[in-house]
Amino acid sequence: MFNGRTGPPPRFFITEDTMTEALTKETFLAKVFDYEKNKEWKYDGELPAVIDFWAPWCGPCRFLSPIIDELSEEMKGQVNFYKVNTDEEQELASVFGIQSIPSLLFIPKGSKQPMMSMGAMPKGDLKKVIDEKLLEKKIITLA
Amino acid sequence: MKTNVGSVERAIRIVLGLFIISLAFWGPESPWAFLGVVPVLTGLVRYCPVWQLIGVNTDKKIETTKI
Repeated sequence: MFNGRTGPPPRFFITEDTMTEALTKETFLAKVFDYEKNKEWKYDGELPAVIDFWAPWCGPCRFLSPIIDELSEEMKGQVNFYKVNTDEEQELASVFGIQSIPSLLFIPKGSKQPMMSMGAMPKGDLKKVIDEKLLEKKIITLA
Repeated sequence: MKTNVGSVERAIRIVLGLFIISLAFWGPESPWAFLGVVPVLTGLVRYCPVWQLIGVNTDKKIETTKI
């Protein structure tokens, strides 16, 4: 199909068949927070979560998407990773006041306020944020 | 401050309120038209005490902190 070329086809656009679970409004309400019934934020999930707000036409999202997939595998059992296609789930994007994509939402366990970061970031930086903000690991840097 | 009026409703309240106020100067020219200031104010501050009383919230925005 690709003139004898081996390996996966080129990824000009992100497809939906990534490893990370895509959230719709319904699954968000069930798994993360039901903002239609509750007013005060409370996340009932057993693991902290990271949600990637993306769109198929966005360049930096294509950079971030495989990183999210990798971390989702590496941190299985520690953190839940989800993706929200902002083209299809405009209400979710509006509820969080998403103004630019990619935007990453970091959700700690319990009723702690979620945190939002705008723009893509390298895998190392993203892992550091997750360790510090969600897993509350102390990062020791040697001078 | 806690808000309970969403952005679409906010725009409707302000436009409708200004229209009601304008009726003090044309049409019925009644001083009652100044009651239009109520929707304008509740729209501007995005908070409606009546919505609070009956548990309505059209502003679904979830607050996040920036990192």
